[in-house]
Amino acid sequence: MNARMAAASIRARLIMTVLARALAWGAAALLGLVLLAAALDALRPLPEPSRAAALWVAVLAAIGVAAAVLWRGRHSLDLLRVALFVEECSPADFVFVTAVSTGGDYGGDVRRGVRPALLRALVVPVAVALVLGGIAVMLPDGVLARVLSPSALDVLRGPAAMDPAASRLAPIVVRVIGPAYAGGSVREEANPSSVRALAGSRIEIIGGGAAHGAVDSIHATVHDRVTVAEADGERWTIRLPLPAAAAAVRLTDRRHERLLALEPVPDLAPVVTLQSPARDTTYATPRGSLTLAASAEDDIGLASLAFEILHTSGFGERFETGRRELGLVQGRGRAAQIRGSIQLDTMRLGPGDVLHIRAIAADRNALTGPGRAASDTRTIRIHDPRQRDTVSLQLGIEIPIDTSVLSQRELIIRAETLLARQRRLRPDTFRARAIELGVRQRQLREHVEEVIEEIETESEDVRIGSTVVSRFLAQAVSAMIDAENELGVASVAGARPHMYRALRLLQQARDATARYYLRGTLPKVVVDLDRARLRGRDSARAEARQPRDAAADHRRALLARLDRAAAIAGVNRAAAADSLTVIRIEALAQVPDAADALARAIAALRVGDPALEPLRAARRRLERRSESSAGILPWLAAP
Amino acid sequence: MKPFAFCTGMYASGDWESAPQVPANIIDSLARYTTLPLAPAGVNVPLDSDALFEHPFVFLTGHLPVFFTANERRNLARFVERGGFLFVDDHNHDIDGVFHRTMTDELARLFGPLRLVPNDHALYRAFFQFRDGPPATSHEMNGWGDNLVHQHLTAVMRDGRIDVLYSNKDYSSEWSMHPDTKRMMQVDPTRFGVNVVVYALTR
Amino acid sequence: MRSRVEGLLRVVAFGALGALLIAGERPSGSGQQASGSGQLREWSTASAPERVHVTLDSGSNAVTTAWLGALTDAGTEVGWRAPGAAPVAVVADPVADPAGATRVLVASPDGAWIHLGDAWGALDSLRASGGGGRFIIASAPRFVVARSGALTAASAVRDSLSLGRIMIVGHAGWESKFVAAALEERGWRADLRMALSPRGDVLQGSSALDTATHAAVIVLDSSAAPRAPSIARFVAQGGGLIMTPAAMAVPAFAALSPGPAAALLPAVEPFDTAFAGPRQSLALSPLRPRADAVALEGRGARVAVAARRAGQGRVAVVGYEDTWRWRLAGAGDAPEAHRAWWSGIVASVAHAAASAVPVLAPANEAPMATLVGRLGRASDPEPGAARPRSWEPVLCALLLVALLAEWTSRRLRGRA
Repeated sequence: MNARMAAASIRARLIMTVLARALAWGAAALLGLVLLAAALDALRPLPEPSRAAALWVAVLAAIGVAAAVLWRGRHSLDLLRVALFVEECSPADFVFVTAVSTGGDYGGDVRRGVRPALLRALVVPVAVALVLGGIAVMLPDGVLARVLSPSALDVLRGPAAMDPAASRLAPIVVRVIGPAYAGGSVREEANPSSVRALAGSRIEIIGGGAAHGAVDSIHATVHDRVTVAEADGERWTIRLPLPAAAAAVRLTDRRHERLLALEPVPDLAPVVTLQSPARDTTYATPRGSLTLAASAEDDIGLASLAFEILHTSGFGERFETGRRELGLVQGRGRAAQIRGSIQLDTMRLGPGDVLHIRAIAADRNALTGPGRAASDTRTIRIHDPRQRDTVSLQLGIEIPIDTSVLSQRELIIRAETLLARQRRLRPDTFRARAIELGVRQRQLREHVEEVIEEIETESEDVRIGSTVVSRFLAQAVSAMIDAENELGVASVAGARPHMYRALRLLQQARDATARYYLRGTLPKVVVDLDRARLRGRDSARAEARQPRDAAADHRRALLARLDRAAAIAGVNRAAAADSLTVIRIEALAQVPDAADALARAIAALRVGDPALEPLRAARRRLERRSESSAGILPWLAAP
Repeated sequence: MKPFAFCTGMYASGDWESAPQVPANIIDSLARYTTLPLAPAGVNVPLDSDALFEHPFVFLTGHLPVFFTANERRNLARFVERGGFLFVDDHNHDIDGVFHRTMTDELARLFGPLRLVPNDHALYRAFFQFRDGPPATSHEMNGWGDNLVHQHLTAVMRDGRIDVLYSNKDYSSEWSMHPDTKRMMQVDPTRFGVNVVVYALTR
Repeated sequence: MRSRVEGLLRVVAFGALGALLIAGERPSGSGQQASGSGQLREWSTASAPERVHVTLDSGSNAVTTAWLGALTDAGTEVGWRAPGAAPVAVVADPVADPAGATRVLVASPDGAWIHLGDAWGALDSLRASGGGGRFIIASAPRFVVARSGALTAASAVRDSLSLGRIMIVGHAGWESKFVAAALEERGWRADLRMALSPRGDVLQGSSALDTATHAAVIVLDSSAAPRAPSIARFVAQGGGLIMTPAAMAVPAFAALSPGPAAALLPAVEPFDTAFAGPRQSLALSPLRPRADAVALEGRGARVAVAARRAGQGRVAVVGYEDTWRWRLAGAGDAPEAHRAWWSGIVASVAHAAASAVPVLAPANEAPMATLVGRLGRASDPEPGAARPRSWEPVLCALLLVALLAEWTSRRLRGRA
């Protein structure tokens, strides 16, 4: 028989054996770690996340062990090594090895010695795996299940309380069923002292010990509303809607009581942004199209997004408004975008008409909402020449800044034209025209300075100082001065960038004024106070003022209650934890920055950990900041 | 000491400037009846600027829809929370009009729903005595707008104290006259404006 | 010969060992206190030393002092020192404020750190200067401890105050409105006189001013001139008065004032919330305090608030103008800060009746003084007694050398 063929046959068996060992050792590792976790859990109940993690660790360990065994057995792929293995099992003075390496024949029975060795290699791992498997099978019900499929309800599994009068309020599991608009997800928490859930959720409080008496003696009270428990086999269940505001649920079972805090998390309204139009505008004539673009985001999910357009027309005190929606999109996801356009020509817009454009969105919360939100609003006005005649408005609807923009643009065009013709002009002609441009630039600059003065002065006596608009104009003036200087030495190319910069700044100033001053400047009516003072004829008698109430000092009230709860913590931790739970619910609304510290103190009291440090931290959060200053003034009562 | 300045709030979306003669009229009436130090002319302050907080009394009016920007909302909320007084008047005198609907929406969004001011509230006795509550305006009596005489004003109140006063009665039109015109009237229509300002200054 | 030498070495070793054992049994006559009462317990029970010297550290307290005093009374001469201990003294008083607070004054050498605490632990710290430091604790603890260096002082609040009403007089306007609002929101009960019109002023509460019913009166401008005599009488009888420079136009108020005011420094327009101090933007009439007046607050080198005693009462002047701008335009929680500041100004002059309250825990307001008073001045330990038996190392060395020599000798002889 060819030695190599024989070795290949052995190799196949060797590989099967290595694979079987890897499986067996992997299974043994998995079972071993699972049993170890179950043993630890039996000694001291592990929290659900730890048990879930233990299962993952066991699986990863099993994979790792199997991989390690496979790695150690990799040499079984090498024929020569297989031959050495055969030599080890049935020593033959390396005849077989030589035959394999030279490709010769071998007359002996190589399998005879190998078979027992392969069997021996499998005995230990298989035996270990079988033993561990046997132990697993013999374990009481539920012990392995706590590790293999951990659940919050595991706290309710276990030996029933021996004392029928014992409280059935511990342990409990709270199941939170999310609202449909958020997907209706379900989660469970074991023995919580507070539960946070999305507004509109439903709460189920589940406990054990239903066999120890009628469950209708178990009830929950929220804001004086009582809900009685329902029996469910060995367990009882109380079903409640999540209240609209944070509240304490008082669970009662005969003479036993327990508090549970419910904290609703509000569903936020969508955030809507109108990207286009980007700013308010006034049109001289309603022509052209206006591009609309908007986006919206929601924390749970959007129901709809659309543009809303209000068209108001009228004059004096007679106005009519029409409304339409555009581009409605019904969404499923958390974000959406819409685009559209309106043709101003076709909207029958007249002088003085106003369009208000915004985007509006609604979320999917049909339970406590829907939350509706709108973007900022853009105001599109159509210029009304009739307003020139209105007594209340000054003439000159052409705003000084608009005029300045036009004038600067004209100067730039002239400068560009002059530059283009420079070669064809005589030097003295070019110079004269450049200087003339400089003079016009100076005149424009002086006009803008007058506008600045007008903007920054409210009346003869009152100077209000710089504004956003006047600052832009001041920078434009500075650019104009630079341009003047260049033009004064006939450097038109040198003046050009300054002229463009002045134009940009004038346009920015115009944009900044667009909101409030497009209809003209309001008249300043000044009252002659001296002439009017105390000239009134009618009689009057001011009524007595009523005192203001003191501002509610929530911190002080909560501090006093915390001190009382802390005083009993040494005697009755459960009662102190219940008191702090109620304090925390009020703190959520009144002093939210203390709520977390109070939660830590409650948790420490409930699990039996030292509570002094968390109580101290909670107290410090409720206290107002102290003030300190160096020195002792001779005025002892100094503030 | 800063004198009292009648401040008109400037908002982006509508015609905030629709009653430019009201400030002078009220200032004139305040001078006629009180010794209050007064600024001789009204001031206009954008709702989204920090200058708002220099004027604890702000008047808002208009005909057109009102949509506050985010900055205007933030400033107004802070202004009222810190003790500022907001007086809003619907220049349309129309409870079905867009100013009323949009402005009340904005105010409710910021401060909660508006509630009726009882007609025996201290506002109506703050200086002059208005035993029947808010005085009617000629626009109401002439059937303009919604053709109703509104018996009550509405407000946002804290412990009975008015922070935001809202009127459907079109005082903006009632008080839009030259100050000297009042001398020819049997009843000075701006007396209620004096009450509003005195209430804001003293309560 | 060799064996005799070895025997001698054995005797020396045993002798040294015996000397060490015997010395260990006998009290040394000096001691050091590391912490707690371990050594004290031994001195008080097992041994009765004639003389002891203790070193006090940060663990020392009133109990330790009393214990040492008892030792002294029992016949043991006690010397003490407290290295690194600086004198510290503390006193805690209630603040005349409806919101409640405790004012703590701590005297300590300049540069020393003062650590203030209450029953719950550490509260605040600052580095002393100008003789110490002062704290206003809003939670109003009834018992505080102040540690500076090695010593800890403790003080208990002994009084509670009953607060009267305040009266506010001024022209109707934003300042009178918001000062009244701030103080009422703080919890003060107020009577008001707001001048408005010849047809009538805006009134609230009683117009009669009396120290039996009122703690202080605030005069915001010269409209209070008709009431000047009654206000002056109120101050002379113990009431508090707060006024502004505008009120000092009335001669009666100027006579009571802590000092005249200089020309008005204009306000920052608009109100600058970026300033570190919230009142930096306000218009200010700087004050020039009289010799008997105290500056309570300043802006740089300028005095903004000053106070003085007048008769049995106290008078303060606030040089700021239009403080309402801070409430409306200030950063952070400006309304609450505005309330607290105005209430603090009132508290600095308010007349309030004090009644005793039970003390929660034994106080030791000046621990260094208590130590000196009980045990005499601090001293260094006596040279002989202070060093812990310096011959003991010599004996140990002798013992070791003798043993080693004896053993070496025997080994070299081959007898292990």
